[in-house]
Amino acid sequence: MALEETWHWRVDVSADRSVLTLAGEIDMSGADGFEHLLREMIGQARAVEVDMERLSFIDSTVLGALVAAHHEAVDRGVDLTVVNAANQVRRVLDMTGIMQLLDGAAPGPPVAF
Amino acid sequence: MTCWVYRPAMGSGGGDGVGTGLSSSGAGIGVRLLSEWITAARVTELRHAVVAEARSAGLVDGGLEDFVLAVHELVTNVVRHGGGSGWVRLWQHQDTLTCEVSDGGPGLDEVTVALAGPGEVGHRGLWLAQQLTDGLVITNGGQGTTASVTARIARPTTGEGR
Repeated sequence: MALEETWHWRVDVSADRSVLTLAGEIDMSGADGFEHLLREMIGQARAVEVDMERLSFIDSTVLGALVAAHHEAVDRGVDLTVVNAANQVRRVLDMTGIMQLLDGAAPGPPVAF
Repeated sequence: MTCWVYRPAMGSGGGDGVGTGLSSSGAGIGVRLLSEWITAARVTELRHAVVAEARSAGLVDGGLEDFVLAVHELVTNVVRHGGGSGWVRLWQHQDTLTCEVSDGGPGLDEVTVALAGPGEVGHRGLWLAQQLTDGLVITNGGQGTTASVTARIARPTTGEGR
């Protein structure tokens, strides 16, 4: 039985950071893939930004994936942040306290040198 | 038989005792909107079906999103911890929507419905289900676990109910 694909992603890599742009709904059927993707990005960049503007649904398994990725990022000294979360996604991140782990207190402008 | 009843801790819900009845099965009261078999492959499809039915029943916006996530967390629990399959049933009685999710899994020795620390990877499903609805009731009868959540439908004015 083919599983319906409910979410999409795009990765933009630049010199100083990688941006993961998500769209759709992620639940337990996508949480493992999402975590794998995040871990891969964390292994290859100094900063990873997850843009959730077009993401309309996450559940507790996705929250778990985000927390696991956060620990991986901390261990590797990588800056992992979530931006543009809205509606249900934002509410769930806020009420569980996870947004605070990932809001990158001072995101800062693009680095220039 | 063991039964746990959780009412909302925050002020957002009604807090007026809805969902505290211990007759775990309110099934049969009101209008059945949905009755579907849960499997891992159907989790997303079932969530979309609950969205459609709950919306038709009158839930909207954040209230709809909250109820749907609560039901989804209970369904996910069945797949991950409750033996992998079970039933999800949704019905409406006047302005109350109730969703009951049951499985034939080994059951739970202990049910903890507390918010996991931000750094903890798992264990948020039941807490979310409780926080996002007007009540969560978990019944463990030795032959599986049944969990139900309720939501109140805010109606501007209709000819039915009160």
